[in-house]
Amino acid sequence: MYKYICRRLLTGLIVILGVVTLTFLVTRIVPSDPAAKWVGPRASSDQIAAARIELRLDKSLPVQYCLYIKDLLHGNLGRSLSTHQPVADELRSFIPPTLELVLLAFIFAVFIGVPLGMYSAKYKDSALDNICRLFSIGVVSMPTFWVALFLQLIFYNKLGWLPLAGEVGLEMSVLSDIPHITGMLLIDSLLTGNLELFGNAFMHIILPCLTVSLYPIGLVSRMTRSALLEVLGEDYITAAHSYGINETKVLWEYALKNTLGPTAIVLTLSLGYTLTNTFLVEAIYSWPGLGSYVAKSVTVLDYPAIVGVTLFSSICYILLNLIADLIIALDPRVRLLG
Amino acid sequence: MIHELGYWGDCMTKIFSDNKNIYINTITSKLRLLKKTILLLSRNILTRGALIGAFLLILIAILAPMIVPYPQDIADATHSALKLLPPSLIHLFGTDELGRDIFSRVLVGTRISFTTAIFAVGLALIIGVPLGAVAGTLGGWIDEVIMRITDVFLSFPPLLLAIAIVALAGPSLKNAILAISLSWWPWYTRLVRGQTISLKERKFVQAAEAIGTKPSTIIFKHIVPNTISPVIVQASMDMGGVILTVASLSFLGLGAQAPTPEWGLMISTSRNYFLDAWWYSIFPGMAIFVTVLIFNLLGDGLREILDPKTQKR
Amino acid sequence: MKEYRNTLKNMIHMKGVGVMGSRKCFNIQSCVLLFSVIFLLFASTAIAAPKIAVYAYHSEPYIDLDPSVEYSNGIIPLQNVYETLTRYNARTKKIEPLLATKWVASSDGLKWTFTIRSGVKFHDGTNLTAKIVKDSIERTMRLKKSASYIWDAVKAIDTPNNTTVVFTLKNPSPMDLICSASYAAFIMSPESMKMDSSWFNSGKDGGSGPYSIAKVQKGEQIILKAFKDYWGGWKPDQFDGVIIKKYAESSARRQLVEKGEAQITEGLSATDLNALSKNPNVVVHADPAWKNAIAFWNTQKSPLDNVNLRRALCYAYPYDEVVKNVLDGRAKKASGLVPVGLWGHSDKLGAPKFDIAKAKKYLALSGVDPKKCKFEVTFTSGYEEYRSAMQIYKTNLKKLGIDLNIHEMTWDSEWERSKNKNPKDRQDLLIMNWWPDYPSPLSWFYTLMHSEKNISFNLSYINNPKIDKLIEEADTKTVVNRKEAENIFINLQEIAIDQAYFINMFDREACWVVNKNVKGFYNNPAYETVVFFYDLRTK
Repeated sequence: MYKYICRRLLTGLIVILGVVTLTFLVTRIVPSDPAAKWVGPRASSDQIAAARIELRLDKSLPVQYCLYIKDLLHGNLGRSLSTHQPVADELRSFIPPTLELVLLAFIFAVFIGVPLGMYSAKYKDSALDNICRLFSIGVVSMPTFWVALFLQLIFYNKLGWLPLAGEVGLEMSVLSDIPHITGMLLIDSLLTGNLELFGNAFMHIILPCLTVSLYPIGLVSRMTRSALLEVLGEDYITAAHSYGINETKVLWEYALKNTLGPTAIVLTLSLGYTLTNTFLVEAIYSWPGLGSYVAKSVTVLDYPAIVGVTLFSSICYILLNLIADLIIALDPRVRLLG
Repeated sequence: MIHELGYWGDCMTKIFSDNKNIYINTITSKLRLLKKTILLLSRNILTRGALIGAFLLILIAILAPMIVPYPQDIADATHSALKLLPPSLIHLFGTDELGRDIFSRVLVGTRISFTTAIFAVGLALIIGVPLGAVAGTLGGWIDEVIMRITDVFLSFPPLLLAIAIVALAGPSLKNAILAISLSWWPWYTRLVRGQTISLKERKFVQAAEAIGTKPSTIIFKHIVPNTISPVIVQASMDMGGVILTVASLSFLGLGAQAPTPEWGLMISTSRNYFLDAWWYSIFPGMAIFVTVLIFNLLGDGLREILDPKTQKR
Repeated sequence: MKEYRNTLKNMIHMKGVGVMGSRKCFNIQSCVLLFSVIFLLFASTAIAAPKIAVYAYHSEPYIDLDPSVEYSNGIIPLQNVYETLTRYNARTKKIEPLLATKWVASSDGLKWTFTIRSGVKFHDGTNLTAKIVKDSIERTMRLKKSASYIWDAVKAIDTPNNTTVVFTLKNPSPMDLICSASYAAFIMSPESMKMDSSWFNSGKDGGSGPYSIAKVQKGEQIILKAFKDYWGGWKPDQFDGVIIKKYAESSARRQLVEKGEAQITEGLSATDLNALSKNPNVVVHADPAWKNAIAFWNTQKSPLDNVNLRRALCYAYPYDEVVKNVLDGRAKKASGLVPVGLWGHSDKLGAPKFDIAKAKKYLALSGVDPKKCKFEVTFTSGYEEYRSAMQIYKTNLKKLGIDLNIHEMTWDSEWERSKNKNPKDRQDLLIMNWWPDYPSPLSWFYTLMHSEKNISFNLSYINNPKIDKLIEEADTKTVVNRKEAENIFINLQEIAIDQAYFINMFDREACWVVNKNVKGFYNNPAYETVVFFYDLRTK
C-alpha cells in the first residue's frame, strides 16, 4: 500500500516534469515576439530590444530552460506579458472564484443528477427513462457558451430577474468593503456576517453556476444510472427483494451507497472538462476567475499566463487522478496490481 | 458475442488465407454484424431516432452544396445591403452580417463539422490504438515509457493543449484538427492498453504465441480487432465531443477563419449582434446541439448493447 | 438603497438561515427572486441619477498606473488623476492652458518658455512648482518607456524661477502640442517620482487632477473619487466618484447602458448603435476621431512592387459599401492619410472610389497575370469590421481573377510576421489602426512613411529619399511656418495616393453611448477613449 502511493507520487512527479518541459517548449517555439507583447503595440524598436534583455530572451534555449526550472522551484511563474504582474499572484486571486463556481456546480449537479439517474434506472426502458436519458445526454451536448448567452438574454434582458454579469453588484462593490479571506465571495460574506453581500453575491452566481453545472449534471445522472443498473443486477439485491424489503428502501439504502463511489470518481475526473467549460463561460459573465483570465490570455497569446494555468490544471489533474486511484485501490474487491 | 464473431472471422482468414471466398465470408460476416447492431439499436426509441438522425446528417453532409437554396453564399458572395434579415420564407434562418443566407451556411457547416470530426477522431485512433496495443502486448519498459507520455498529454486540460498547439501553428481549421487529435489520442491508448492486458490471457492469443507468430502479427491481427467494440463506443461519443471542441476553438478565434461557414465561428461572430439578431446565434447553436446529441445517443446506445453488465436486471 | 437593505434583512430573518441545499431552498429562492425584482425596479430609478459615474469599458482599465510608463488603456484613469501642461480643446480646436497658463516660443522655434499656474495642489498636499515640472518630464525621458520619444528634441530644461520652465531644443518642435500629449506628458508629485510601478499599481497616485485613485482591482476595475482641493473648484452637480470597469462582452455593455446601470460606454457595433439611437434613455454620440484604418501593401514583395497593380487593387476596394453597410454610416470615407478634424487633412485630395472598370484597366496596364496573384491579408483578431470588409473585398477581387486569403491573428504575431527579413515571408496586405500621440499629423508620415533601419511601423516598407526629405522639412517647419508644413503634408498624401502605397479604408468615428441624465459630454479626439469626468454634469 505504502509502496503503491510512493510509486504513484514518483510517476506523478515525472509527469509534471514532462508537462513543464512541454509547455516551456511551446512558449519558446511560437513565431511571435514576447518582447513586443511586453512593451505594447506602439513601442519603438529600441524599447523592444530593451525588453528582450529584461525578459532574458537573449540567452540560449538551454539556459532559459534552467532559469525557468529554477524560478518554478521558487514558486515564480514569471510575469504576464500583458499585465506585467507576477503570474503566481494573478493565479492566486483568480483561482478562488472559479473554484467557488465549480464546487457549487458540482453540488448542484449531485442534487439534480443523482435522483434523475436513480429514477431512470428504476424505470428502465420506460418513457420516464427515455426522457431522463434524453435530458442528461442533451445537457452534455449543448455548447456552453451558447447556453450562457441565452440565459443572459432571457433572465436579464427579457425577464430582468437576475443580474447580467460580475461577481457582485456595482453599488455594492463601491459602497461596502469586500472581504478577502478565502477569495470566494459567498464564503467570505458568510464568515464576516455580511448577509446583504451574501444575498447579492448569490444572485450573481446563479446564472454562471447553472451554465457550468450542465455538464456535471448529465455526467452524474448517466453515471448513477449505469452504476445503479449494475448494482441492481446483483444477487444481494434480489435477496433483499425476496425478503420483502420495501422497494424504496432497497434503492436508497442498499443500492445507492455502492454507486456513490464511482460517481465521486467520475466527478473528480470531470474537473478538467468542467474547468475548460469555465474558460468559455466566465468571459461572457465577466466572472473574475481563471476562465476569463485564460480567455483573455489566449486571445493575446500571453504565454507565461497560459503556461501558469496549464501547470496549475495539470497538477490538479494529477493529484485528483491519484486520489481517484487511491479510492479505487482502497476498495477491497479490487486487487492491487504492483 | 461480438468478440466471438470477430474472433471466428479472423480464425477463418488465418486458416484459408489465400482463398478469395474467405475474404467475402469475412465481409459478409461483418455486414451481418452491422445489421444485427442496427436492429438492436432500433429497439429503443431514442437510439432509433438517433440512427435516423445520423443517416439524415450524413446525407446532408454529402449533398449539402447541391441542395442549398443559395450556394453562392457559402463562401464567395456578399450582399451587405441585405444584412441581418429575420427568418422568412426566402431566408429560412435569416441572413448574417454580410447578407448571406444562414440556412445554406448551416447546412454546409454540417459537412465541415463531419470532416473535422472524422479526421480528428481518425487521426487520434491511428496514433492511439496501435500505441495502446503495443504497450499492452510488449509490456516492460516500453509500456512504462508509453504510459508516461500518455499521462503527460492526459494531464493537460483538453482545450488548453489544443490552444497551445494552434497558437504554435497559427489559427486555421487544419491546425485545429491536428491539435484536437493530439489531445485526444491518449484516451484511446489507455483504453486499448487495458483491453490488451486482459486479452493477453486469452487462449487464442497464447496459442498464436505458442506457434511462434511475430509480435506485430499478434498485435494487428488478433488484439486490435478484438478491442474494437469499446473503441467504437468511445469514438462515436468522441465525434460529438470533437465537434464541440472545434466549435469552442473557433469561438475563441483559434479555429476556422472567415468566410468558412463553421458553426462555432458563426456563433462567435453572432455575439456582436445577438441582441438584435437572435436567429444568427440560435440556428448554428441548434445545429451543434442536434448533431452532438445524435452522436452521443448513438454512442450511449452502442454501449448499452455491447456492455453485458447493463443487460442483467 | 436603504429600502433594499431593509427588505433584504427582513427577508433573511423571516425565512431563517440556510439559503441552499434543503427543502426550504425553493421558498427562499423565490423570495429572493421576488425581492430582487423589486430591488431592480428601485435600483433602476436610483441609479438613473447617480453621483457615481460608471464607464463600462471593453478591456482592462489600465496596465500600469505609473504615468511615465503607461502606453495603453491606462490613460483613461490617468487623464483624470494627473494633468499635463496644456490640453487640446476639441470644441475650439486649440491648445489650451492647463497646468501652464501661457507659453511663448522664440522666432526660430528652439526656445519655449512656459509660465506655470500657481495655487495647484497635488493630492498629497504638495504645491506645484516649476522644478516639479522639470523633474517629471526628465523622469519620463530617463525611463524611456511609453511615448517618451516625444521629448527627443529637448536639449535642456531650465527653471529660472518657481513659475517658469524653459525648454531648449535641438531642432524646432511644437512644444505646446507635445505638452498636451495623451501619453508621457504627465506632471507628478515629488514623492511619487521616487516610486516604481508596484507602488503606483497598489492604488496610490501622485497626481494633481480632479480625481484621485480610491480602489483598484487589477485587470477588472478602478474606482476614482473626487479630490476636494482641486484647483479648478467643484460645483454641486459634478460626479463624486467614477468606476471604470471591464465588461468584455459588447452585449453586456449595451444591456448595462440600456438599463441605466452604466452611464457611459463605447465599442459597440453599428447594429447596436442603431438600436440604441431609438432608445430614449441614452444618447448616441458619433464624433470624428483622429483614428483611421489603413491597409498597407507590401511594396517589397513581387508582384506588389508594380505600381499599376497596386492602383488596380486600390480601385477594387469597396469604400462606400464598407462605410454604408458594414459600419452603418458610423465612419467617414478617408480623404488621404490624415483624418478629418486634424490640421493637414484636405478634402480636396478626393475620397478614393470603387471602380471595377478602372481596376481592370490598371490590371491590364500592369502586365501582371491575375492567376498568379494569391494575396494574404492579416489583421488583429477581434475587429469585426475588418473581417467583414475583407470578405467583401475578397468577392470584388474574385471579379478580377485574384485570390485573397483572410488571416486573423494577435497583434504581435501580425507584427512579428511583418518584420521577417525576407519580404517574401511577410504578408501581402496588413491592416492597422493609426492615431497620433499628440495633435500633429507628423505621426502618419514620420512613423508610417519614413524609411526605417529596423522595421517598426512603416509596414509598406517605403524607402524613398525624396519622401524622407519632405517629411523632415515639414517637421522643422511645423513651428515656424505652420501653413507651409501643412502644404508639404498634403503633397506627401498626394504622392501616397498616386503610388497606391495604402488603402485608406475609412476614418473612424468615436461612438459613445451616454445616459440621458449625464450632460456636458463631448468626444476629444486627441485623447482616445478618455472621458474627462470633471467636465460632466448630472442631476
